[in-house]
Amino acid sequence: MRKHKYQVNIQRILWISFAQAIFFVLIIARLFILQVVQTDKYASLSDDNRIRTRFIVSQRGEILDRCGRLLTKNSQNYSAIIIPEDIKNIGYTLQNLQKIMGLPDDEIGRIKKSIRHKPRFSPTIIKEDLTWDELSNIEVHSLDLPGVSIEEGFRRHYPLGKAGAHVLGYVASPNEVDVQNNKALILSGAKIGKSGLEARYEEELRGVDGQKMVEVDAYGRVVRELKHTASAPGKDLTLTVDKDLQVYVAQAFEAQGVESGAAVVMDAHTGEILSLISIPGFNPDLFYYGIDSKSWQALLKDPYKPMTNKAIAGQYSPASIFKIIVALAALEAGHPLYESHFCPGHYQLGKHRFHCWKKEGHGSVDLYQAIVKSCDVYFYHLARKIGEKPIIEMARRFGLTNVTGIDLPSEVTGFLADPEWKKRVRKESWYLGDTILTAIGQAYVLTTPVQMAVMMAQMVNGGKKVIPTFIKKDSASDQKTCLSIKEYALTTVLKALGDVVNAPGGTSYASRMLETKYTMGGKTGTAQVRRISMKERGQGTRKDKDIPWHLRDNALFVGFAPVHAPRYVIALVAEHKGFGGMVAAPLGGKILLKIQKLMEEGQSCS
Amino acid sequence: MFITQESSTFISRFQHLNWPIIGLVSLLSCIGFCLLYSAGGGSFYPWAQAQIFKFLLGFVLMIMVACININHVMKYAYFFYGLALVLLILVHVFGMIGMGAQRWISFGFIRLQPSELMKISLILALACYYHRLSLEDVQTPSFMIVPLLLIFIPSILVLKQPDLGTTILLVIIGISIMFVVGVRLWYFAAAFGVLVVSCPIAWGFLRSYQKKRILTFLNPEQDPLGSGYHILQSKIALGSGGFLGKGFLNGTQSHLNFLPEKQTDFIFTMFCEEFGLVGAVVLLTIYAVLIFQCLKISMRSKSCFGRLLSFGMVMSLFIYVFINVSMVIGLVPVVGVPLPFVSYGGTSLLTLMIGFGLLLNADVNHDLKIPRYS
Repeated sequence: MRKHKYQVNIQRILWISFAQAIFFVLIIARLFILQVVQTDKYASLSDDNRIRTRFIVSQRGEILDRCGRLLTKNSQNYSAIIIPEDIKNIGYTLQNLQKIMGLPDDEIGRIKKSIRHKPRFSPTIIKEDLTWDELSNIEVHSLDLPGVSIEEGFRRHYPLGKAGAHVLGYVASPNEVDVQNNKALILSGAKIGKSGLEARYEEELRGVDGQKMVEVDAYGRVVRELKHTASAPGKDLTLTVDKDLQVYVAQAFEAQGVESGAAVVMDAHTGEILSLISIPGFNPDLFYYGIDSKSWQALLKDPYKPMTNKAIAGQYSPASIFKIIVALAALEAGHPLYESHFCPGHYQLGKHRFHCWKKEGHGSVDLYQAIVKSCDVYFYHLARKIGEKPIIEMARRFGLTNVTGIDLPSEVTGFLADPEWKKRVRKESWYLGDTILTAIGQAYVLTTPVQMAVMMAQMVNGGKKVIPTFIKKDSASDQKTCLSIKEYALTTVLKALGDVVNAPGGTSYASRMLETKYTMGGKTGTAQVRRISMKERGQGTRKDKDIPWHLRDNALFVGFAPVHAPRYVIALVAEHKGFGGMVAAPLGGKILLKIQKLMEEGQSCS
Repeated sequence: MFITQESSTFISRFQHLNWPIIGLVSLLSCIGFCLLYSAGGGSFYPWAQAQIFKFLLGFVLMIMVACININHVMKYAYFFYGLALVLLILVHVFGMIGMGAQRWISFGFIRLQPSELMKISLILALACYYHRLSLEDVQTPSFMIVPLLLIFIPSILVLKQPDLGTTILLVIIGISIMFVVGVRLWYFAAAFGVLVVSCPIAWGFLRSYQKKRILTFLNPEQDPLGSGYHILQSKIALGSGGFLGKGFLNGTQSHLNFLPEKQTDFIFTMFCEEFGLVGAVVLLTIYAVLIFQCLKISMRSKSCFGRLLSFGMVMSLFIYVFINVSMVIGLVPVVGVPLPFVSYGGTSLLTLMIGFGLLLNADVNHDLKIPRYS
């Protein structure tokens, strides 16, 4: 029997309804798998999608001078950053960035490189310290800049500029080596101390970075904050440095026309550094946002080496300043103070003739006068008499062969040759001539300005060991080691050093303080940086201006003030500035006068 | 008391409207408004308010279409089909570019999508054609030529637009009407065999983005930021919704824009993220009830035209729901089919409501015997 069309239709519609029912069941089964069986997996994927961890850079501690005056200045600023993780098409964002911010091609190249080298979730800085115009420009175009966001941060400024550069150092973005040592650095985008006290007290200053978890949309824009772990700001650092003095010293060097040099002003009893300077300085603000390669090359190629802290890393022959050590050694060895020796202007040792700085000679001088007048011949005689051993021993006791332990990175030690060293390194015997040259601080003696300052401090504070520091120490923990030097020797030399400045005929008499209220003592040094040939000597002394700058003598000065109760010491070097008494002593005098006045007027804090 | 007379009036037909179906359609549309309100970030702008306006327009159209004389509908069936075909060709020739595909034809004040018109016209034309055939004719091979041409000419034009979703819809609706009307089963078996064999050949005709969609459907994790992004994000949204969902307006995936096209093709995903499996089952049940009601209409229609017309409409509703839902849950490739009555989009909503108007019309006239030729 043939079926009717109607029956066929109904039958087939029923088949289709049945098929449809099966499809519905299939869909619900699939939804059950997704939404019930696998829901945990997808829930965590969903959270990964939208939750980001961002670092909050802690505010770096400020550095203050001994009176609490700011030597660094943090100010709030805004930076544009890009987080590659949030973008699907980095090229598009960068293209728009270039259009909107007008970035040059090499900047875009730098950003691209940084994006390649960092993990996808870590931010790359597009531009720091945005102006209000740039900030609003980015905000207005935020839809065209997926992945770009604005971050609040701090900018660090150094009000002292060049004058404080070598003490404070600077902060900058961590380089690859820094990052290897501390992987967390790459995440936060924090700046770290790269030199000076910023580097030395990095941990204290830096604080602890915070974290926040934020919910972002598909374009990486923050929708809301889910969790916030506040950052802990770094500790403030109060230094022993006096801001006014620091500026004054820099200005004094400049006024004197010193192109290159260094000075350390220190409390002789506590080792507190009141001022430390290296000339020329550099502008520490240059580094904060990354120095451009042209400026960096210029700094590296500068013949006056602005990036070297000469106060702790410059090695200079102490010249006549070393006579203090020789005199102390001689007096300890029992050499009578008033034993005279005749100075004809030179000293004959076999075939070799050693000259006194005073061509016509000092005549008959004893040790005391020899210090005051800085008679070389007397010290040649002395050295020959006592030998090199007690001299080297005395220098060691004063710490001239070791680093001083100042709390600045990259301090270098001085150098003092002895017979053993000469035999080992130079494969030569130690001659009497070596002893004689050592006695006037030339040849194989090299010291840093901070070593000379420490030597001077220990000399005037009664022979107690001093470690230079920028941080005030508790006086309770002040257990000073005694260098156990005979008091007679110390007081005698101290008195002589006073007369160097204050007695007529003393080498620094011209630099004495004219206001009777203030006094100082000290010793100059003039270090040859080349050997003077017999021929030149025959022609007479050449004027400094005829000699190339780098071959001119170094002028040095160590001083203390006041004379009768020494408290402040100074060591300074003016590179290639000729005779020590002409440049270094007046400079030292000015600075020692300034510190006494500052302390007395209560403008500085004790 | 049902309408059996050709001479019945507009008013009497209005009195016999199937209100349960109208109620279900309105319920689905209201769910749509709520979801569009959520998709707008808790705001009627930009989607919900536009959708409400279009729904009201569509509602009036649906009632009007339901109440016209079914004889007139059948009389103009071929005319509508011819008009839709001409417009499809026109759009192919003059069509303006929209969304990278030529789909629109602009009449200045209104943009018409001929492929939408074709969805209705094809059902009308096939219903009309088979209405005039006896079962013997239906099962005669020579009478398969016209229906196949009716189906495949517009399908190929739409495929060239290119609009894979609508093409699939046209073909499945056409074939299923042929199935229901009684074309011998072994033809379908043979066609299926040919389809399997010709798949590799058809592959060559697909656009590169269509190939890419099929490939990423097969392995979405292969390219999570590229083409697989849609499917992956959709699955994440669904899965993270869980059993009870994240709550109305709380879908993180959709509100943070990880979910693309959340107001149109992926609105079911957003719904499931916010209302969970429970919500999904409820929504699918509403669709199932609606489809069941419509199939009942089809089965009680005395005329073959009414039967096929209503079946064609309910079949297209089912195909829409099935493809859209299967697509967002990763069962079929992303082909761009909206969720009927819920997804944002005026054109598809209006088409659907006109289609449901015709379905209601068939219901009103289910007792009416329509002569083969009038």
